[in-house]
Amino acid sequence: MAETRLKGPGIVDRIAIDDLFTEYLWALDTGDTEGWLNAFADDAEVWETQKDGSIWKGRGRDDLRELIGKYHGNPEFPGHQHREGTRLFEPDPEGRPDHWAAKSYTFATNFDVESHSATLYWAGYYRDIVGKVDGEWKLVKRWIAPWMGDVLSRFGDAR
Amino acid sequence: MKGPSSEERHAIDDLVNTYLWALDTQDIDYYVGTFWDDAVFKETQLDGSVETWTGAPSIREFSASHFGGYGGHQHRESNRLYIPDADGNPDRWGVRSYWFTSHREDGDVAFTSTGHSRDVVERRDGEWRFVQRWVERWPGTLAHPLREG
Repeated sequence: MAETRLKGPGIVDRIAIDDLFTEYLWALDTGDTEGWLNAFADDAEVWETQKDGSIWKGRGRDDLRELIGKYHGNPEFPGHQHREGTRLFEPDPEGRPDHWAAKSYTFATNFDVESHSATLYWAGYYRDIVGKVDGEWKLVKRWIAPWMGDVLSRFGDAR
Repeated sequence: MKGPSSEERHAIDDLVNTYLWALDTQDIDYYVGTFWDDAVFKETQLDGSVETWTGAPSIREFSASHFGGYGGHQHRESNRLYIPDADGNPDRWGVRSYWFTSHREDGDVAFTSTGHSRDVVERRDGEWRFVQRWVERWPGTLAHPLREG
């Protein structure tokens, strides 16, 4: 039988990165601010593209706490579930060992208890750098963006 | 474990994800690059008929003609089942999965379609690609893939 040439991280690292992303999503959607922060390296960077196309940029615990507070402090946020998939790995652009770039799709649904119905709320993508810090995979950078702009440049319509 | 090995599953993951990103970002070279040269692409039409394109050049020509209509779409795949090759070829797997699409425009997002696929992937020289991709909207009258011969 022929061997499979697997590009990207090895299987054990892929599983650990899976766990990291899943822990992030659970923390996000259950209002676990400390759990969400724990998914990041101490000096991690987060960028978030806004509806008007501008980019919020933060680095380090204080900035990230400010960002997540925007959601966890919003009384309309509970009911959301975020899901991530279609993940592709590429080499770290800075060539660091135990670091990978990852791009993936994400979307959010919102469940309304009163009507007992779920709606699609948001669709976008992540551009991440993950790194192994003291033996544990962490988000070193996460760029959260809606499905608009540069990613659709081949369509000739930034939407 | 039934089905492909862990390493093979991750390689097939990478193949499917490369295909989806290429489809949704209109990258025709990456898209066609997920098929072997002799691959077949099938699409079940709304009237139940099946259209077939054979060979990478034919798939490229068909895909290039309708790629532009997908701006704002994201296709997602899940619930994947692996079906052993009928001839016992360990370098070939049937792959059955669900898919759905979302569309984002002017800040609003909505589900646009749901369906399933009947794919066949094959390893050649260590690399997995599609030898068949067959997409169909969810018909609601489908037998479980493990019930099919």
